Amino acid sequence: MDMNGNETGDSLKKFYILLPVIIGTLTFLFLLDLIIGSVNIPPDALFRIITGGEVKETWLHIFWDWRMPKAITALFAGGALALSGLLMQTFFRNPLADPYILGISSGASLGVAFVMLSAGIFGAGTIFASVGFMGDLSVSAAAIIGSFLVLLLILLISAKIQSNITILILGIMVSYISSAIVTILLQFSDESAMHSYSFWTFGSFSGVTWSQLPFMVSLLLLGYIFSICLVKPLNALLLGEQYAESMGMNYTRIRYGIIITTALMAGVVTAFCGPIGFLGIAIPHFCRAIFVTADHRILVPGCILVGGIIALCTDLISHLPGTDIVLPLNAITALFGAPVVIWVIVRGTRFGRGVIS
Amino acid sequence: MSMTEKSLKITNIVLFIVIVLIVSLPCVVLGESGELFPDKAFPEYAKGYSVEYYDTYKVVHIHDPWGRDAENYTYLLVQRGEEVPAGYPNAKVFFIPLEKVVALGVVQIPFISKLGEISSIIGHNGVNLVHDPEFRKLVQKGDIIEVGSGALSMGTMLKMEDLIELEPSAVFCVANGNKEYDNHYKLQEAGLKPVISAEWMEESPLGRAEWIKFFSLFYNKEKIANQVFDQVKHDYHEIEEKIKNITQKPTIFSGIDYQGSWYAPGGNSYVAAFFRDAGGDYLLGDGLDRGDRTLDFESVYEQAQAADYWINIGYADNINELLALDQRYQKFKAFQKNRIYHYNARVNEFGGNDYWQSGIISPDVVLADLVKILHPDLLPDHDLYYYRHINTT
Amino acid sequence: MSNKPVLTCKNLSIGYRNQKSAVKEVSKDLNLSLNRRELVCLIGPNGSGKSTLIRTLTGIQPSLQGDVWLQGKKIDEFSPEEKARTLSVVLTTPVQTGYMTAFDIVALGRFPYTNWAGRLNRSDRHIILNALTSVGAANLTNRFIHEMSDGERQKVMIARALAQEPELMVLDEPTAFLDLPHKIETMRILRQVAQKTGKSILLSTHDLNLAIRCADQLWIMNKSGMMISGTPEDLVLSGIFGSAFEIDGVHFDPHRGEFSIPVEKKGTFQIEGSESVQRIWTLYALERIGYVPANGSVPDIIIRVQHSQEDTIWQISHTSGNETCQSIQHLVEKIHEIRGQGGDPN
Repeated sequence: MDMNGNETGDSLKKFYILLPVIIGTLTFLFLLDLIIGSVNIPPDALFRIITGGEVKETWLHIFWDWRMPKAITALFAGGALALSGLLMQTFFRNPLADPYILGISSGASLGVAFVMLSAGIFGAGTIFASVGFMGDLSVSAAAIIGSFLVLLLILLISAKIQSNITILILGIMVSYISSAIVTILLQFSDESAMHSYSFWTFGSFSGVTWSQLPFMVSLLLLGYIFSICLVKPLNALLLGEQYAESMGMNYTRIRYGIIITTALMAGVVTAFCGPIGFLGIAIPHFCRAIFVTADHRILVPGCILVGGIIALCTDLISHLPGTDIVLPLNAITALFGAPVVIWVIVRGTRFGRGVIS
Repeated sequence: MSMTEKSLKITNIVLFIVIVLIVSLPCVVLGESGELFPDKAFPEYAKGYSVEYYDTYKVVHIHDPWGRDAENYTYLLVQRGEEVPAGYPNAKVFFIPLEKVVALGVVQIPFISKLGEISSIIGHNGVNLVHDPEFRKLVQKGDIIEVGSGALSMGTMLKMEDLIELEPSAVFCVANGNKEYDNHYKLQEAGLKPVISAEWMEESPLGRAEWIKFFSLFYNKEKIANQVFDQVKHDYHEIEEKIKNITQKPTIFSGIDYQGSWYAPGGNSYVAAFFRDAGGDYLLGDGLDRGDRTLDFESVYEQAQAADYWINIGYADNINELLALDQRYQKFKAFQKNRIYHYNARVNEFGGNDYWQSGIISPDVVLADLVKILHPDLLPDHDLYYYRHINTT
Repeated sequence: MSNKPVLTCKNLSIGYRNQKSAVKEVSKDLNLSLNRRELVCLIGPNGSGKSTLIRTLTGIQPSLQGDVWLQGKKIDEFSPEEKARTLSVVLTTPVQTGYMTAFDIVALGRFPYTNWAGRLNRSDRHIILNALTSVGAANLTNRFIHEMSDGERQKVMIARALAQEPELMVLDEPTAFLDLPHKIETMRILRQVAQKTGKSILLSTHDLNLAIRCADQLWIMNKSGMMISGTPEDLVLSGIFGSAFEIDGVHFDPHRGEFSIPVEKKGTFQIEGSESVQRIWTLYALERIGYVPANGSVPDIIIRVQHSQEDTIWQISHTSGNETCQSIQHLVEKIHEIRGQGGDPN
């Protein structure tokens, strides 16, 4: 209560009230993603699957080996992408920033392209076979290495250069260079390699198996933890770097922290799910609108949860319940994300100004 | 014998010889039967083209199933030295037999090879991918020039200048009806003469093999084509006969997944036809797709988990690659029972797969492979040729 | 309480060093000190280097030579957090973030004191609300900053700097975008803060009139980077103030403490009437239209101001007669008429 008897810290209160609703929706969608799929598993069978009763073996496997990892992946990937987008939007004070603005996903794509497409240059099948021994982590590992290299480049440059605009432009240029190299690799590859690379770019939550899941989830949880630790400096950054420094923030250290955390989350998601667009840019705006705040103490957990919700929704839609058809995930995320971004812009400067433009 | 009797005999003999000469002379002059095209080849199984024979020329129509691009699909094959007949304003004219051709694509090679006309090929857009030994010899001698760029991919980029310089009388190619990617538009603009073949659109194995007859039209080699095809037809039917009495049809599934989407041959596709003819029950063949279908991994698993055989594993070449793509493939019974087969037994170091080359003209061998896999006791003497076993242990 | 100055510098030289090691010196030999409870205004024409000085004194920009001491310690020896507890700023960069209430913004001022999560305890909240009240923005507590006017936003930013509880607050042109009443209010708030809380305040401004009235010390920087400091009154009386700012035709009037607006002389007058507000403003009006006191010579017009409880009457006497006016507007119109009728050489 303040002097006049007004309630203060309203946004925090509102968040606490909304929290059970959000968690409830998240749980509901998670369960829905487990229940709905192209194969129709009746409710009583589902019940028996969970309680460990007798059930058709294929259904058991479908539930545990396909649907469960997919739902968990969507849950975490959505949160991670939303968080990375939030970090980038605050850091660059740009409402159109997304997790890939530093060129992270381009680096990942380049790594993946090397593994998949260079077979054509070095002789059919050799590269793939030689990395086959790494198991199904080979593509993901290549993607992580690719994003890591881009990250190193960005960190090196940011050590020399103060201006954030420069880093922004650098990230965009890295994206272009990576695309160019990938195009050249595509030119020299054979049809099936081109196909597999092309499918990788569609993005999907379904490709992650139980053996890969622990890696992905633990790395993303690490990213979540870093983000939570960054909440206070992120809030300070809302006023700009000069104010933030005057308030005692060590800008250089925080800058590294934000870049590394974003690269970690965006890189890992891209490595395991392919490049998934629009969630990173749209969900932070969505959160700002529903929580009516720019306070990162609310937005960080908010994005984690709402990110999971939206990702599960897009996954449900892309698997068009009742049919065999799978729509490319990136198409669905664009169909969700683009209207949100348009709505943000159209609603005008006042509501849209979650971040400095 | 008296003097009169002797002279009569001699006269008879001379007369006989003269009459024989007189009767046979025109035949010597005019040839065996008096026609330009004594041997004719008509398609029985192939639905994609038709041919009409006339005295001095042949008219070939390619049937475009999508009804587009009619103008490019009528060819007027005129015997060299004869006049081009009027009445075919839209047809492309070729003087046969062809002497210098460029081939774009691998499937034409075995057809032309069986016709004995490999030496007519002076250019190709992927020489490294071709298996045919005669072809390879000519490549080494330098008689066949590479006109593709983009190393190993077929049909993407052509070295147009080199192609034009070769001055071929025809360029064999395929078409999708897509103005941007089809080569024949570019070839026409460059003054070259494309011949579009549509064998890849045939669904039946024999239909596809029968396109050897189409190519024979251009070389006046219908006789050989008929011989080859009749043999293939005979051998194919022979194997089919063996299947007639089987009691059980093993279940098969095919293709692989990528990131949640499973790409499998459609029910009416060329590959599925083999499965059927080999006495197998192809599980993913619902629907009338002639090409690949995309399915959800979940539903494939549901339908095919208990299948007996997994035939064709997409772009994975061996078990390591397969597992590297997804560990969950181990859950299929076919994997656990070590019954995975793939048609990459004859792939050269550049990725050229003979299944798609000589395999097209030898569907009987492909069928034999599949029967060997599905019903091993029916063909004890046959060894797998195009297919190989993918060992999971 | 020690009487040691909060901020000092000795032989400080400020300027820029670009990448090629070329040095552009903006000002040198600066010896300044700022004490507790003092409000210092830094004034000077555009381009004199005020911003550079502020940036150097707050440690944002390194000096070319010499040191800055904050609370007796060299400023570059402070850790960011220590410095934040000693020094807070209000800058000119506009704050455009949306969806933050005034409370949220001011709460950011507690950054150097709160834990890793920025959690506010009871005393933090108290400090925040106090800060808002002392700038007169208590009613803005729950309003979003992007929905506020410039003046309101400025108050919130000052409150934020207050909540940071520094020893010294530095403000870069805090009154720049405000209208006059708000300018005055801002200065009043700042003076009050200095007096009540014992903080020191350094602000740069272009509002010279306000500066000489409100500041305890003036630091005047001229175009060539020379700095003179002292109390405003001393600087005015010594003529330094005037000469620092006078440009062609614009003079500083030490009597009135403001810059006079030169007007072309149109005539002379003599005024009669007791000392009153009405008389004072009549004199202003006459000055504005270009009439100066006759001072011994024959005036062109004589004005008598008759002021009673109900109303005021102005009587004009001139060569051609007498007039009576009910308002100054009337008076001015009449004077213009008289001039127009002739009878005076101008």
